[in-house]
Amino acid sequence: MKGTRDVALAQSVRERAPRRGRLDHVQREMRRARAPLFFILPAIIFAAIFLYYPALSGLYHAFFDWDGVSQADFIGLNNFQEMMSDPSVRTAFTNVGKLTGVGVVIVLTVPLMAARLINGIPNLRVQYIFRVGFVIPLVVPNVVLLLVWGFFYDPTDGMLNRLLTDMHQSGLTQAWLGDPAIALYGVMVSSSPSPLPGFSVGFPWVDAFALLIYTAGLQSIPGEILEAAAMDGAGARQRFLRIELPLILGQVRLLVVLVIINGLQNFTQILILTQGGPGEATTVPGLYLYQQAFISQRMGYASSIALVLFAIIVVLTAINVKFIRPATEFEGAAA
Amino acid sequence: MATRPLTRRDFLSNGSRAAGAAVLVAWLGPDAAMAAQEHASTRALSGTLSVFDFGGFTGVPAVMKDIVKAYETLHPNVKIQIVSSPSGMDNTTYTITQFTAGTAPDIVSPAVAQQPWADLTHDWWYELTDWVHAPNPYDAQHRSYSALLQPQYLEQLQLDKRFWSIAVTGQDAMFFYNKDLFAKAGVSALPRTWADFIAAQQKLQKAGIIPIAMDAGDITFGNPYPSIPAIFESMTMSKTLAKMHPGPGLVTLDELVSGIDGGTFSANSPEYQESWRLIKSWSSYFQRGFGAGLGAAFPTPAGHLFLEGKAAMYWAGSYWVPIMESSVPAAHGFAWDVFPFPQITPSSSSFATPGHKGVGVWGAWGAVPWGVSKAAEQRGHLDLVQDFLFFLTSPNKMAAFARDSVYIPLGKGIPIKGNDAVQTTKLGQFSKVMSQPCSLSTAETALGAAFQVQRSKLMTQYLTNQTSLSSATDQVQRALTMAAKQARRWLAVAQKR
Repeated sequence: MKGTRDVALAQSVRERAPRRGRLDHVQREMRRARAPLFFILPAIIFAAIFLYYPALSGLYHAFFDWDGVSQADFIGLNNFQEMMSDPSVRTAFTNVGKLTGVGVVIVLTVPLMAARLINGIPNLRVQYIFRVGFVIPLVVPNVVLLLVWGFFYDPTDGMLNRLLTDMHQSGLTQAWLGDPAIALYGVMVSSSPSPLPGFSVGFPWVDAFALLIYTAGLQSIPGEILEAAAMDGAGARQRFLRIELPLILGQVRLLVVLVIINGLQNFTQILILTQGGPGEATTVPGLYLYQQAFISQRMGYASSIALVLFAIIVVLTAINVKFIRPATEFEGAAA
Repeated sequence: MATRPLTRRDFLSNGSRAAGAAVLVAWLGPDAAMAAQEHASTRALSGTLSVFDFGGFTGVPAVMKDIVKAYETLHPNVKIQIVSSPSGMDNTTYTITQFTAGTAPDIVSPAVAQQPWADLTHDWWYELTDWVHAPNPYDAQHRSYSALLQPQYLEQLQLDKRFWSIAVTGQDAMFFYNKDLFAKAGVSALPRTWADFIAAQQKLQKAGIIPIAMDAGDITFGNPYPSIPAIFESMTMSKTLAKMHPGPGLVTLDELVSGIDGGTFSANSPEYQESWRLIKSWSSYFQRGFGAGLGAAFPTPAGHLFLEGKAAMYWAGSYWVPIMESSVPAAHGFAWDVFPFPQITPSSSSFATPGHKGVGVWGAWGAVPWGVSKAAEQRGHLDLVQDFLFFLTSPNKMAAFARDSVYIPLGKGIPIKGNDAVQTTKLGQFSKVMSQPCSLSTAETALGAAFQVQRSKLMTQYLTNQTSLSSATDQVQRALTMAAKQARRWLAVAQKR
């Protein structure tokens, strides 16, 4: 009997030992991480107060009639029903769809081409000069660039119309931001969404942030692969399309996600450039929800727009993450 | 500092005692009157008073600093602290945050987009109705604020005969015009009627001149362009407005809300639509791309066109006078002046009625008003606050404000005095316009920022052919209904008190 018990006990100890060991390990890790946890705690607290709480509050208040101050009244899905029949919301989402779509196309092409061209320069010093040349404009505040674009577009005195007039093309002059038929295109040219939060990029759309990310990706591809491909007779175009591009899809995915998020959320560029006008020709959801929240004091309705925007961003990001996968990721490659 | 909050009754009884004493000493002689005035105003006041001053467009005016200094000299135990919103923070957001937290400064100058009565449901502002009618110890004749103010401005500041804010200066909008371009186009007389006005613009256009620069993409509450429909509506809807408000004076918010609720005042009515039609036909004389939304640049592109002598007219507020003075002579040097919005007569619209109509759009609410926060009452600062407001609104201080801030005085007999002779003359012209507000200006403004912003957007959409008239006015009607519902809540609070 005793022997049986001993065997059972020994078995139990054997079973518990690894569990106990794991527990000890976790405790040891926790003890070791106490100091870092302590130091990171303020950041967690502030993030909870200033990021997570407002986000959750927005989610909650999307179902309320609330002015931001008074008692909130639960109204179920009324805000969402109102959104469905609100022509301004429809216009705003259509506009942002166009702007973000163009932003994605731009980030997938122009900075990538620029990065590829720079990467192809044999002289590293010249490569560096080009990179710096494209990055320097980042130090100019975005507001300044937008104001310059505003002057550039001025229908009477703007450089663009003057240039056209000087070229004897007066018939082509336009009220670039004043004509509702073309104002959104004017915005696309001057302030397409950048992957860098809060920034936009104007013509020629070589976004410095995207350029750096692409450059990092291209430089992380081992030279032997490209050399082997060249020896196998692959031309520059083939090398780019069949080797380089598949290998930097991680960077592509990151930039597309960032452009989608920034494009859908951001509105400051529109506010500075056109205030959403003429009428609502360049209005975007971010601007509309800002006006609803802070001018009309309709925080509940604004929250419901934000919730829909959030859902769209999540879905698009998930699709992007699921379907855009790099062929291989090399050490040092981002994302 | 006072140990308990001074009630309205305490305050009025103090004021009455002061007034009684003043009458007695006035009978004894001027020196005694002055002494009594000092006595009345130097009763045991002490403590720190906080004053939020949004500063209009130019920061805290120098006159405010001087007045604070004078008050502190008179009351050595009182310290006045002028508070401004933190750098980069919008004034409205700042004050709303402070009110919500119960930490608002004692005296608050509401930002342009704020109407204290829109906050009545929140109970943030101390009601000043009793103060408005109480004798002012700093006035030699102890007249109340209501007695010192010109009656039309008092009307603009009230809600159902109650007051939550006061002001001593105002401003209004007019057409600035380039005399040289008018002469070049052969426009010799200033247009007084709508027909003259359109004829003048036709001449200007024929001469290759941009007739008018208009910020028609501006949706900012209270700005010149968003305020303009009130003038048109007041002229084309005069018959309806007379039904809503029989007799002289302005349509009140209560009357407008009743009109909207009862269907008397409708954006879908032919007379309302007529006002929009007139604006649309007028817009053919605006600069190219007039509907562009206003960016962050100031002066606006339309303002620049006028300043550079490329457009013959510009619709702007009296604040534009010093800008003209400083910009035009240096750069472009043309002769300029101002003229009021022309009268729409039956010859231009079958909905117009004969007789002169007011064309003022801003008036008393257009400058820097002050209100008292409920937090002041909770802090026991009410006596100090009200005494300081008496000081601020005494006739000599009203005159000082008018002199310093290029605003127009609201007080009776306060002379208009700009920083130079040109400003004084021009402000005099604005003052005439301001003294005759259009019937709907105050009530429509009182409907709030959300309505005006929405109307401006729809107006621009209509003017730039993005929407039809019926669709635009249909949406305006929805915005009106929503605004009326909200205003009804404020009125209910005001009427319950």
